[in-house]
Amino acid sequence: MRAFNFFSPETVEEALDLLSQHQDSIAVIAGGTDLIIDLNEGGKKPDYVLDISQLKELDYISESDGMLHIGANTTFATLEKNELISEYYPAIAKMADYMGSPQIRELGTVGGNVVSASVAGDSPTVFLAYDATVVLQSKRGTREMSIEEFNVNRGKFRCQIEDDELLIEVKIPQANSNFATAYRKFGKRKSLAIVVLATAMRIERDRDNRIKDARVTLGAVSLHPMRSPKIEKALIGKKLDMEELEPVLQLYTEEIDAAIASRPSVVYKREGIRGLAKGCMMDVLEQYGLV
Amino acid sequence: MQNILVNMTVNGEPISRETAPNRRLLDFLREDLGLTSVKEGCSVGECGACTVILNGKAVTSCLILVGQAIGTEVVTLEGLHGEDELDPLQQAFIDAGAVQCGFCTPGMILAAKALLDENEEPDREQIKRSISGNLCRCTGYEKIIEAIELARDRRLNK
Repeated sequence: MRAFNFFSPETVEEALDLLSQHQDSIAVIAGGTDLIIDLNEGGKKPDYVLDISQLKELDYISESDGMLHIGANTTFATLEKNELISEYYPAIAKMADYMGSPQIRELGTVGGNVVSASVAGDSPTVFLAYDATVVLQSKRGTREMSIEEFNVNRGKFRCQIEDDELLIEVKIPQANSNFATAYRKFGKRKSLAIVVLATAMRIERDRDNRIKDARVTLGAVSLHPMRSPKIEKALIGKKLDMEELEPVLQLYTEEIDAAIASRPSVVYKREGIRGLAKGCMMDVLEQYGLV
Repeated sequence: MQNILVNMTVNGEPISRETAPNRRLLDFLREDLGLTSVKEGCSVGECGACTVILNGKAVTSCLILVGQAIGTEVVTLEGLHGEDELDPLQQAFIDAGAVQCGFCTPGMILAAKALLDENEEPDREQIKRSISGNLCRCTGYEKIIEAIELARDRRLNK
């Protein structure tokens, strides 16, 4: 591991000062589950490493102003054990449950997973379905953007974060009884598996148990998770009943065909996606008490 | 590069050492403190051989910079046993025949200890999940799970 100077600020303000001062060659470390591997293998050679893992002020899960706020330093273990999440945000609970291993869940943070913006990451697919907004802060001020806008490559980052910025929060519209959410993924095994294929959905129902609104996302089929307007449109207006929903699975296959036509794995994934999508539909029906 | 001063509690003893910051907790524990139960296996957080208990949680010490562990309480396998007596988990691993080559054993025991300290009566599924981040390439998982069940029962005086 190449030499660097190590900073462990005690406040976000102090962290932002250091970040702004050394932005040309500084790496921010939170859970470290990706960065330390890069440092150790020489893939990253920063002059400074800024440790934000001790910043307790970024470790929170709360609901206010109609939003669920998740602080960047929230670990996946915290998400997994949080009652608000397990009760009302099932797709997030599922994502935390799938993530890494017990040891990795204790270390890895929501902020780190979102900023890493890995093609094979779990959280971007889920947060996109939840219509998440990210909150970025720097000495210059605070700004917010949708995760959709955020997930666009920019220079050395795979997302729209600037050199002097920290991601401090992810927020999503608060759950209510008309929302149901689901996430399913394929990895090569159960633990410690990055995403091979994933899909998430957030459904909003009307009084007659028909789909009023749908957000459907596909993970690990493009550089960033993508929404499928085609599937969403097909779902809207449908009765919440498996028989009526099942024909939509064909559209999932078509989306996979379109997204990864040239990849050898397309023959498996065009079928596999149907199983994942059907699993999500079953989860949604179950949450509504319709099975 | 500026050295950093590392103050932490390791196996109940306060320690204070100066070190370069470009090192992992794993390197510091093994090389500086001589705690060689902490094994380096894959170096990418997948095998769990370097597992230690940090502030009560099982974590992979290859994925923590030494500076990030300042002020924490770390427990390695060396900290488990008393003067003349092994920890119930250590004894159960022996009694159940859960040790083959032994390389994964410290990490397995510590992952299991973190579980039992949090949940004193885990079922088999919870036990399996708790060691899902630890690989045993002798593939002795059945015996390892049995050993953890045995330790659980002994701790509960069953």
